Amino acid sequence: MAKMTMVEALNMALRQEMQQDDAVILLGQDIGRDGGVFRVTDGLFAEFGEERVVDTPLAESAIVGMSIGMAVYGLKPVCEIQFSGFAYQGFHQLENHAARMRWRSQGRLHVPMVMRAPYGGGVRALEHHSESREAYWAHTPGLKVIIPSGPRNARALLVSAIRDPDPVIFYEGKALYRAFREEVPEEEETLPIGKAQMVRSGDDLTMISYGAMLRPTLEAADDLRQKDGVTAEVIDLLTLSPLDTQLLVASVSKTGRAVIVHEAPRSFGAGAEIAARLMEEAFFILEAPIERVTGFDLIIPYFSREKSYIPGPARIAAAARRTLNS
Amino acid sequence: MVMGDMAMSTDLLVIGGGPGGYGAAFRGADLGLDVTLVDQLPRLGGLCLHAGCIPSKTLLHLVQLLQDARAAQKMGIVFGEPRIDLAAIRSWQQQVVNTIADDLMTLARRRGILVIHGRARFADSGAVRLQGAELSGIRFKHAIIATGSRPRALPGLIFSPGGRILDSTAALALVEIPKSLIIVGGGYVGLEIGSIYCALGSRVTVLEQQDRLLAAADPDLIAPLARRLGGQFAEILLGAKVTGVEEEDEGVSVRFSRDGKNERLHGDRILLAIGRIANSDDLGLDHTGVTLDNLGVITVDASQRTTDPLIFAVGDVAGGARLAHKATRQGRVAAEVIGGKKTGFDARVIPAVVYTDPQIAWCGLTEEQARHENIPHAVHRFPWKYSGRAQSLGMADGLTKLITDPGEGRILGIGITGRGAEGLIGEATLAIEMGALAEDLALTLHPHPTLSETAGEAAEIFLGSPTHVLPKKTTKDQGM
Amino acid sequence: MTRSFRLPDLGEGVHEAEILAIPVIPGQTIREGDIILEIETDKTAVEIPSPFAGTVADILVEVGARSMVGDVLMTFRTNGEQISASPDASSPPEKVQPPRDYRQRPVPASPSTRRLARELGVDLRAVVKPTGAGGVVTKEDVEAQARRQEQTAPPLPAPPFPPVARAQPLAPVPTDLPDFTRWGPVERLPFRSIRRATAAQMTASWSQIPHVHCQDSVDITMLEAFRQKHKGEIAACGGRLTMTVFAMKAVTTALKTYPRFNASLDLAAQEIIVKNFFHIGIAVDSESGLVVPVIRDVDRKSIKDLAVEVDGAIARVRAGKQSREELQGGTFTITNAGALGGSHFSAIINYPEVAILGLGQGRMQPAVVTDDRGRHEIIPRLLMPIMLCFDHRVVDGGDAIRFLRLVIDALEDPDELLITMI
Repeated sequence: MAKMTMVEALNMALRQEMQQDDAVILLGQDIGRDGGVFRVTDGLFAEFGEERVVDTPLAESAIVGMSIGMAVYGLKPVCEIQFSGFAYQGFHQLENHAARMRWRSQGRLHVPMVMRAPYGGGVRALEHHSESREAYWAHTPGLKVIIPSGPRNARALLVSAIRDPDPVIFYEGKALYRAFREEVPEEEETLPIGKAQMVRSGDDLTMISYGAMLRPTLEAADDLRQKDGVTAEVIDLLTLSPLDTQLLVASVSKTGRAVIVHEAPRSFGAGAEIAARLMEEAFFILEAPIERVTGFDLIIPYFSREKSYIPGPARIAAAARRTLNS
Repeated sequence: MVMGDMAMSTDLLVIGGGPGGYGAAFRGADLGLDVTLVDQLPRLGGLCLHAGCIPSKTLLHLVQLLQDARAAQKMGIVFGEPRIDLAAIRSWQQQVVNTIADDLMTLARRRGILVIHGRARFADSGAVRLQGAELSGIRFKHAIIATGSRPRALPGLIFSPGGRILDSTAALALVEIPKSLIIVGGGYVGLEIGSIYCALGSRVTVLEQQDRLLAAADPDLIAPLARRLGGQFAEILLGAKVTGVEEEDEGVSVRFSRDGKNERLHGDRILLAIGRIANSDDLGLDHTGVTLDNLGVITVDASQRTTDPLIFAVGDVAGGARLAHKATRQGRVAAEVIGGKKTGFDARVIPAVVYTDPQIAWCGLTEEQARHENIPHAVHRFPWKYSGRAQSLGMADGLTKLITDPGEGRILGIGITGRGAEGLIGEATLAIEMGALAEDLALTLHPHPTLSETAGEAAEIFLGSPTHVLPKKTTKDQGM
Repeated sequence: MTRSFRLPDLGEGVHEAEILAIPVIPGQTIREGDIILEIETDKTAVEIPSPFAGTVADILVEVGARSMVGDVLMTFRTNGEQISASPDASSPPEKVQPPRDYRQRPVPASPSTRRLARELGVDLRAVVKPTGAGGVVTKEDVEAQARRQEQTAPPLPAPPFPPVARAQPLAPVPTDLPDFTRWGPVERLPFRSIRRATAAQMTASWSQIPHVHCQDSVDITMLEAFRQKHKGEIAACGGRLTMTVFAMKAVTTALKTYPRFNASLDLAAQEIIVKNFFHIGIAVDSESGLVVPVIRDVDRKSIKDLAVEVDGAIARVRAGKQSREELQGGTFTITNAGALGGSHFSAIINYPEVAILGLGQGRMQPAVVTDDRGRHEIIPRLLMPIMLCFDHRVVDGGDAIRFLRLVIDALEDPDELLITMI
């Protein structure tokens, strides 16, 4: 096994899938000769050529639309949007076509495409480059939404996403791209879509998080264990839609308390949905109100204030203590 | 890269890819730490590999071949005049360096160490900013500084690439062989590089401030070398205090005072080999709790920890002998401490080797030091003229000397001058580390005929009955 | 010239030592390295070699005295020179540096031996008689020294005492002792380590705390039957199911109900410190004296866990292998004299705790038992003496009786114990 950053792990997933399956095609801005804005597609143009690694114009609607067409005709396109903040140009294509093609054609057509896009803040970027708007996609029936939290699960989930017969939105936390390295096996590895993972087991409360927020959540859990002697069960969602309600309910049934952490704005965010499901299925077990630690209902500020916007370990631990003390 | 502040985090950040840095990184990785190493060179090895030990020793081997070929004349074999192909020598030198550097990179990769080409400066006690790398910064749990040292220049002088005033790095690049080379500094760097240029045809003059060459070693070890170099170099000027060097239209000049007189010397090139200074000034250490002494050396304790508890320093930048093997050990010690092991740098002796012909090697107590610090000691000298092997090699001017405790005969130091001293000093170092007595060394069988016998016989002198020299009446030279 | 010998820094934060023996006398000629003192610290006993060669001029300490690091203990006349008037008189100025201190010369030992010594925390100088050829310290020497250090490290009394009380030797009894030898032969034994620590602890507790004792007896017939039934399976897990284990659980329940018994009095702050953790000390009678290992978080452990843990702690104490940490942090102590055959006794509170529970031996005794129709009958039952001693400054008798009642009820009926157990 070699140690890799998330960028390298994603690159390996793409390379191996392209080697195995000629139907896998990449398209996006600067992904070919330049290797992608974050170098995720580095070296693939040289290996697979311009027919399979397609540099596109700056036109997200066209990138997504072309991907849908390719997918319907049997290819497996993986398109890259440079920043998720520009993906909304393709929203119409995804919502009106990709997401409903199977339904509209009564199962005769399906769209095995993946839209990859970096999301989230923490890298001191400009406007439109730091948003965390996964809820748009998760709110759209017919789309699957995957958000990995580290190199190893990013690679395994990207492989699963490429092989999935339906459209998958694959959000990559750009703060995670080179944040740390992990052992990633050279051999094939996949993870099931729609399954969350319990990354740490505990008794006193459940902490639910995903993507770039997993690491600060784990830090908060460490803090609680060290300072308060409290053990938190930490769940990494990995797939936002469909949501793994079963694991969430099982964990909260054990601990009676829940804290949900995401970087996206609070209102109508993933946390609201998770909290609602816990209320529906575990209401009588809950011992305290569910806490949400989220971004604010604001446009994410520029980099000098970015840190106050994005939940950090201190905010997460404080919320956990509120649930524990109520 | 369009934008973004790509930071990464790691358990152990090593700054510097020389023997101290990669020693630390490899050990840290073997202990299970996530290790990232940042160096300004694209490949590991540092100055030692790319512009120091390895290139110079590669050239010094060629020098030895030249001298052996010449010496063979009186033994009955006559070679023609050698033809020196400078480009081919450079290419051979580069080939040696490449092999080692590539091997080091493979070792790093196989250990899962991330090697980043760039420059790191501390932002605080837990992070560095990177320059010239894809990443913008690295957060670390522990850092090891192994940035080494660089040649010292004279006040007001800056080494400029392509200039006529050379530092050791420029000299070892072997761009050309000047007609005359003035070397300021009679330490091992000056003498080794002087030997190279002299053998390749330069007229070499050495200026040394002290009253003898290689001031760190005992005078009796230096004598055969001084004799040999006196015949090869144009001039060796001792007690010469250099006051300035200048580039002129044609060549260079150096001003110096000697015996109260001001003098001036002209030449084609000057090599400044007057010591090294620690690379601690451009690391952003003012953002950390690391403290430096007045020479810019980072203050560390026996576990190589600086005054900032998360930051360690090893090798030249942490002071002491500026030797690669010391740096590697310190690097390993620092990594072990970070990996939770109870350890410390406690080498009793640090062996040193000068690769001139003859070579000089020593470790532990020197006779001068013993005398200066009033340490009770006894000295036992075995001159190589009594060694069959030395005679057969035509190298009878060597010397092996043993410095022991006068009573029990515990070995405190060993000095060797002569061909192959580099190989002989290993046994000496082991003897001292093991706490051996002269008797142990005398009773250990040394194969005949080898140069290693000289150490055994020096020890037999201590016991009072050496085989190949006559015993003295008083068996123990009190040396005081 | 005269040189003074000061108590060297013994490392590991030790700053005082007791002089155990002085094997030299004034006027005696000493070689460098001869043993001149035997001292004992909190941690270990060590022999101190002389750093000088010469004659002993003056001995400034006595056996039994306590000295601080840096105190001058002896003066020496070093070779060939006269005693000068002042021990600190400076030597004539010399160009050369003075000879290096013997103790600074590296001890001969191979690098691997030195690494082992570091790992085991052995100072190579502490190896008095190296067995290697020519005086080299071997790996075996280091291992032997490590074992010696482990054995001589005195087990410390349970909770750390206020520093003032620890640093000062016990105040001597005001009146002088008579000369007992007038009436017959006597033997004088050293009064130190555990013995002295116990004395200091008990004196402080007894003199500071107004003790009240409540006594009762518990009918443990049912509990004993329960214990007999289950002790086999506990033994199979490596534990020993004793009355103490049940008592710990019952006491913890009572402590949770009456938290003031799980407290300490802070007179300086005029506050009662109630502890929200339940670490129960168990008084263990060992060869070297009374030692109280502390079992942590008793409220979070099962009876089975406790049976294993208590047995392990006792075994470590008896082998003298307990760690310092495991003797600290107790909130309440249980002392069980039953195993030795003891009955009622009064216990001294383990300061700064607030109460201590004593247990005696369960014995078959006639007991009056009343059935549910009100008829009395005398039958043999297994009755165990139980005592609670408490600090009347912090709690009152009423609470103590209620506390004790809760413990008794739990011990009389295993069902009750299981149901009320917190």
